[in-house]
Amino acid sequence: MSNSIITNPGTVGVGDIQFFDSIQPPLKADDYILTAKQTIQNVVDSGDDPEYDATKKLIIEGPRFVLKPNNIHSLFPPANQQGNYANFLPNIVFNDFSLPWSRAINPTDTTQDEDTPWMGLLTLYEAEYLETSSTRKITTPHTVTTEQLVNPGDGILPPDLGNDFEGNDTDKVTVVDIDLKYFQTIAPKLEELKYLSHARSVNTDGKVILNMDADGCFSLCIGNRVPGTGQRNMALLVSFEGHQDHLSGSTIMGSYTKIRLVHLGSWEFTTADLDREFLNMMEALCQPGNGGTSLIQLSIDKATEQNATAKEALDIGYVALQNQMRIGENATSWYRGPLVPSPTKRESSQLPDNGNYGPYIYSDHAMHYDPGTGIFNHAYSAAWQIGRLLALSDASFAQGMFNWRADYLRSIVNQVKQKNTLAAAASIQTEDVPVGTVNLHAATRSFFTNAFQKVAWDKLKSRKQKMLTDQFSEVFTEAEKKAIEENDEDPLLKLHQKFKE
Amino acid sequence: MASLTNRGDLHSDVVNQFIQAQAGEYPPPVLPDNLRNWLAQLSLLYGVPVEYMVPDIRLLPIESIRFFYLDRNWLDRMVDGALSVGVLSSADSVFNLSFYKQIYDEVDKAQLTLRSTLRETPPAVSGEVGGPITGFVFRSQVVSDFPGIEINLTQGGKPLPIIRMDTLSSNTLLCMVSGVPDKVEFIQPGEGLQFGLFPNDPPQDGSDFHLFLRGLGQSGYPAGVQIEDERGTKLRGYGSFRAGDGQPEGVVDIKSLVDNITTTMPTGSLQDGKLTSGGFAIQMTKTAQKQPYESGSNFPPCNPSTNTDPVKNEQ
Repeated sequence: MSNSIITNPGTVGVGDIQFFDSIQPPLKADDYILTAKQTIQNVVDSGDDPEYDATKKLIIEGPRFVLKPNNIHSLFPPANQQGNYANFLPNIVFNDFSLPWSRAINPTDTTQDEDTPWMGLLTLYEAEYLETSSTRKITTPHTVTTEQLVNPGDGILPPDLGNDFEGNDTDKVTVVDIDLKYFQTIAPKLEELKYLSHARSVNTDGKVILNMDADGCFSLCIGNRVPGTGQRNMALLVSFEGHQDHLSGSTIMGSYTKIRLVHLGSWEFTTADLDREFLNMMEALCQPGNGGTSLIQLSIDKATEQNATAKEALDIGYVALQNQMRIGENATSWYRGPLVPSPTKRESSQLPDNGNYGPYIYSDHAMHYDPGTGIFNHAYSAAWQIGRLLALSDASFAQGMFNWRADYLRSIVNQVKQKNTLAAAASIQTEDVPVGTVNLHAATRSFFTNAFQKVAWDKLKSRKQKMLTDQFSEVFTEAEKKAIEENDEDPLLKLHQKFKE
Repeated sequence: MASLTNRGDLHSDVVNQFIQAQAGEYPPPVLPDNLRNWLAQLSLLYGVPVEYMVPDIRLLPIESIRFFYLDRNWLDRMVDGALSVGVLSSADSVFNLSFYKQIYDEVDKAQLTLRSTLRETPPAVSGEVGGPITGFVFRSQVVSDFPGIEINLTQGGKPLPIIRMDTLSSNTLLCMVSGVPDKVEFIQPGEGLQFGLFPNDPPQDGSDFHLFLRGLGQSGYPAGVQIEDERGTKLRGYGSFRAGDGQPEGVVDIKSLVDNITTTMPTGSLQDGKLTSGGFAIQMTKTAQKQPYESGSNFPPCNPSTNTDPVKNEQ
């Protein structure tokens, strides 16, 4: 598993972490020669099989002297933070899941120790790195050319990047020089180094794990030294490439006093003196001076103990608050919030005769008064008021509430009106005339007549009625009048036709 | 048309219609989603000033946990107040009087789904609609120091759904759950899982610290689960810091630690008898600590846990 690239990291279950010894790139960063050879067999008239060769130089590049910030996913301990990190090893998480193994630690033999990362995390204490310290073991990170990296000068041990590596004057690299003897005491051994990096695959579908907010694989480097307590510490990420024979436990030939390391990154943090483990902090809740854990209620002192009413009120979560009454009087009233120390019976789920008052139309309805003590209880009226205030403060809610109610009321009134009309129409059909023998025109007319006959309306006559009944009553015969009425004809026009005849 | 019927008749007909709607014979009004969610948020005290919840600061001193029941009457009154907005006529009042129960019920339902809606996750299947809501306010430095703190509330071993969990300020956490838990666990956030050691206390010869060894998924030792013997004693691996003249303190002797773990691990629990770097990382991971409060033992009165041995508190 450790030698294949994972292309489908989502196979890890939610909340699980899958650990890998290493995730190897298909080829480590190096120079390669691609060779192709073709042999042609069975060629007629040829003594032997001809061969053709082709070679191609291939260079796999990768991060070497500098890391991009977006390679880094997270740091622990967090940079510039103070906390209880005394018993933790610093670590750095990379987004690039094969970064620690993308390059061999020994640049001249890239096939050896493939699980060994080419970088490492050193932990330095305050006295060892601060510029003001007299026992400082490390120089400030400084920029040199790659030529100066491999030829640093007298007494400084450079990385052995192989004979192929020719530094130049233009490429720059940030380095630190560390006291060689000190370096060997804090650096891991070569054989330890592979334990200080691993890869992990997580699935963060349901939950944030290790601050890794994306599905996928990550690689980590772990430091080998716990931070010093009560002081500042520095975590220093350096390249060990070419230093495979300079690490802890190795014997250095030559008169070197310092070692030159490629500086890939560093951050500082402060380890608190006091113990701030999670559990200790939780347990500290119960120590004197702290609040402890209990139900939400005021503690009852001796004076309150004597007063049964007050004791009961405090027991069930009430507090006594000053209350300015509307009439200008100052009084003490009981109040309690929605958070109470004992279960309550829900009023709205009771029967109406058992205290279910229904909704409270005004906050005054929700004020309680105890005539025995003369004390008001404002718990629920305050709740009513804050509910109303919050609703009013949200215009879209208030508007939505208003519209919803108005729409439904309109629909229900329309529904009732429609129902009444239908009922009336049905009653016309059943009472007055046998169903089917009357047309709608007549039914409506008779309905209107019936509906309006009780009303002493000022009866206005139409022009047609006036003509037919008052003005030309003698001109038309009864049959003609009926025809005009039923065919909805104009009496004037009929009169004109009659004259013509 | 208005004059068709008597106003008084119409009024009583409308009221009858209301009664029918209430009885379910006529479609009752459907509370729109936005209003329902708004009321559910209100009923979970979103936006309610902290002074209304904690009227006296002595109810919530520094470094304290205060457990509570949520007073449903208080919530109902608050909803009543919200419903009172825009009541301009007796018709609006009649509407409120007719349908307040339905609105309460809708709000009760939405309370349980609000958190999952906000988190865009599938809603929890458990939780009693309109049932008791309990919770706690946690005011402590822990809240700001461990921002991802996890809360696990159970009743008879079954997890109860959290319906609201928010920080009211940088050091105050409000958590509400549907149901009455008999066990509340405060768990160190999983994001804090790091590589750590347990210093030997008291010091032991030849070693400075220990680890609790876990199975690696080989021969009956499930991956990531701490190995215990039949008496429940956890298997430990021991390690030490490098020592010697001029040796700076705190440098872990990785080699001897790896050797110690390799020899301590039960036969067959390591693939090919070797500890690899992935396996080493699993052993070094310091698990989240948790603080339980249980009904009957240390809940609710403050009972300082004397159990500081990480062996027992280790999960």
